[in-house]
Amino acid sequence: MPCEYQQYFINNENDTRDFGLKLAQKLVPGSVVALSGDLGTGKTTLTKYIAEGLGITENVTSPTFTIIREYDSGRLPLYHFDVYRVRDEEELFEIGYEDYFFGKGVTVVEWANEIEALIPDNAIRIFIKYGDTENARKYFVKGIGEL
Amino acid sequence: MPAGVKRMKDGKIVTLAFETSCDETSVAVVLNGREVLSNVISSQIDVHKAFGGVVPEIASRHHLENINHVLESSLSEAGISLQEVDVVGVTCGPGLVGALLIGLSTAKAVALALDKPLVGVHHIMAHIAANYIEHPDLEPPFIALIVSGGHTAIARVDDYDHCVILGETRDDAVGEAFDKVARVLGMGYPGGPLIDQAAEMGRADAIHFKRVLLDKDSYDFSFSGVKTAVLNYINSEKQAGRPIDIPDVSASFQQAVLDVIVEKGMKALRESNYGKLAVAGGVASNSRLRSMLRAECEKEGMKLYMPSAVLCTDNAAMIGSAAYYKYMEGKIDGLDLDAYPNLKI
Amino acid sequence: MYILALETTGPKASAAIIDEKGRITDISGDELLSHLKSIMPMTRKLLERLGITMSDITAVAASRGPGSFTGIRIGVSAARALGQVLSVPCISVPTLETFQYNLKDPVSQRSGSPDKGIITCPVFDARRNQVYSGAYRKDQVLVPGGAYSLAEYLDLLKHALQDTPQDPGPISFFGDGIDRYADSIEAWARETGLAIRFAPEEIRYQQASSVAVMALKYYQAGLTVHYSQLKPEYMRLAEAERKLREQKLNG
Repeated sequence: MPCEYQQYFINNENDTRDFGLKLAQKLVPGSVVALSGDLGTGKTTLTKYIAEGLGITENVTSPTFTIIREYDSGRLPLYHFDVYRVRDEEELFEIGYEDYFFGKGVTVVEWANEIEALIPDNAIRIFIKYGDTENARKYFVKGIGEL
Repeated sequence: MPAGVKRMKDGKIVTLAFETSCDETSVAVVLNGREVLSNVISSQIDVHKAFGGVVPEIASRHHLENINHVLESSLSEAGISLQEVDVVGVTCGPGLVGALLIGLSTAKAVALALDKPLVGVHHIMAHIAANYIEHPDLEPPFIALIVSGGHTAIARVDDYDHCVILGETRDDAVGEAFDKVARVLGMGYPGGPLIDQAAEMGRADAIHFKRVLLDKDSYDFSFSGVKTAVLNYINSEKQAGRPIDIPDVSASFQQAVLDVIVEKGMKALRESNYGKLAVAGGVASNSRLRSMLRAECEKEGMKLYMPSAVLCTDNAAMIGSAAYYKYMEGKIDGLDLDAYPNLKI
Repeated sequence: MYILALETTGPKASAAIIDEKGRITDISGDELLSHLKSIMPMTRKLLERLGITMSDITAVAASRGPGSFTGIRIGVSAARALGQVLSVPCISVPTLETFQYNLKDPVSQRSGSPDKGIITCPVFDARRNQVYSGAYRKDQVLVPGGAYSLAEYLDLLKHALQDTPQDPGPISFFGDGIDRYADSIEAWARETGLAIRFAPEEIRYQQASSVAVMALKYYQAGLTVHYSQLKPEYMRLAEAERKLREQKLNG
C-alpha cells in the first residue's frame, strides 16, 4: 500500500465503531467515502457506525440488492451505495449516481474499487483487509488526515 | 366502497398498475384486485415484439425507455383499451428514487389524461397482495412472511391495507445472504436458486452454523453473522488444505437461515391466532423453505399460502391488487404523489 | 389548437399551454416542492384556467435537457405518457435554446422572435467543474450546446464572436451557472473587453413559456416525434472522455 495511506489496526467491532464515529465528525456535504474490501470484511458494519456518528437513528441495512439506501434522520443525508451488482458506468448513471456523489449529503460506496473511474479524486478511500485474528482488520485510509 | 365507483369491465373494476422500484419495469391489468389480465415484465418480454417498426432496447433499469412499450404490451395482452381503465396504481416506495420516479411520472400522466383516480402502493404491501392473486380464497387477517433480496420481514395483516411490521432484518435480507454465500462458494448469480439446488444433494446437519435468534421475544432477523460464519468456515478449511463440499455447505447454511425464519414465522402465527400464513418475495420460491413451512403448518393445523414463481418476483400485478384494495377503502392519492425511497408501512 | 409544454430541467418546474395564435398561459412551481410532485397538478390547473380538457391538447412538448438528471426524466416521461395516452405527437425541445425566448417583454415573446441583437448564453452548473452551455443569436448557433469546462466554453464564445461580421449586441448570460461562476465570467469579460450582463432573476432560469414558444415553431414546421422517440438529452460526457479533456486543457 503506497505511503500516503495511513494504517489503522482494528481488533474488534468496538474499534470499528470508534473509527466510524470519529470519521463521521469529519464529513461534510458532498463527502464521498469509498470502501473496498472482500466479502465479510465489514464494510456495511463500518457504514452503520458512520451513520451512528452522523446521528442517524434508522437501522442501516445492506444495500446489495437495492443498490442505494437513503437515510435522512442525521445531521447530513446519507446515501449508502453497494455497487457490486451494478458496476457499469452507464447503468449507474441511469440510477442517478451523479446526483448523489455530487449532491449535498454524504455518500458511502461499498465495493468502490469496482467503479474506480467514477470515484471523485478527493474521496476518502478506505481499503479493508483481514487481520491476524478472526475479528481483526486493517484499514488503509487516505484523505482524512488524523482521526 | 367509495361513492360513485364505476365498474367498467363486466361489472369489475379495472386497475392499470405500474411497478419500477428497482430492476424491473412492469405494467399489469388486474380485475377486482384478483384476476390478472396481463402482467408484463420487461426482462421477460420478447425483444422482437416491435412496435412502429422500431425494436426498443430492453435493458434492466432503463425504465424511461421501456415503460411505454411495456404499457402498450400490457394493454394489448389484456385486450382492453385505456378508456376501460378505472384506477391507476403505482409503486411509490420504497426503492430507488431514479427508478420509482419513472413509474410515478408515467402513472400520474396516465391518470390525468384519463381523468381517473391514482393510488400509490407500498412495495411490501404489494408482495403481500401477490397471494391474493394466487389464492382467491385468501382474505385477511393473516401473518405474512416477506423474504426477498431486498426485504425480510414478518407482518401482521389485520385487513387489506392494514398491516403491522412485527419484525425485520437488522442487516442483510435473507435473499442477499443466499447471494453472498453463493458468491463465496464460487457459484453464479443469482445465488438463491443455485444454493437451493446444491443443498438438495447435501446434508443440512453436516456443519453447524449458529442460528441467530436475537432477543427471545424479537421478530427481527440478523443474517450477517451466519454469512460471516460461513466465510470463516470456508477460509479455515482452505487454510487447512481441506476441500469444500459445496452441497454440504449449501445445505447447512440454508438450514441455519431457514430454521430462524420458520421459527419466527410460526411463533408470530401462533401468537396472532389468525391461523393463516402467507409467504411473499423471491425467496418464497425456495424449495426447502416451502417444504418446511408445509410440514410445520400441517403439524399445527395452520393454513399456508405461497405464490407461484412469477408472483414471487417484482411485478406490477401485485401492485394492481394492492391498489384495488386501497381504492375500495377510498384511499386515493392526488396528482402530487411523490416518490418515497424509504417508505415505511 | 393547444400545445402543452413541460419544463422540469431547472431549479423550478413550470408548465405552459400555447395556442395557434401564440397566446400563452403558464404556471410556475414552488422551488421547495419536488418537480415530480408539482408538474401534473400544475398541468391540471392550466387546463382549468383555459376551460379545456386533455382531449383538447394537440401536442405535448418537453424540455429535453441538458439540466438536472432527475428533472429531465420527470418531464420527458410525463410527456411520453401523455403522448401515448392521448395519441398525439410529442415535441422535443432543446433546453439551452429556449433561453432566447426568456424575455421580460410579453409582446416580443408573443411575436416569437428572439430580440434581434442579444446574444443568449445559457450556462448550467454541471458540477465537477463542468458547465452545460451554448450561445445563440437570432436563432443562429454561435457555440453548440454541450458539456464544457467554463474556460473552454468562454474561449469558444470569444472566438465565435470574433468571427461574426456584425458588432455583437449585449451578451446575456442565463442559467444556474451564473450563481456559481459569476466572478469567473466577469473576469473573462474584463479580459476580453466584452460587454456582458446577467439576466435578472425573474427570467434567468428555464421557463415553460419559452419551451412553448419553441414548441409552436417546431409544430408549425412539422418537427414532431412519436412519443417513443422523445428522449432525454443529458449531454454528459462519459467519465473517460471527461478526464481526457481535462488532461488536454491542463496541458
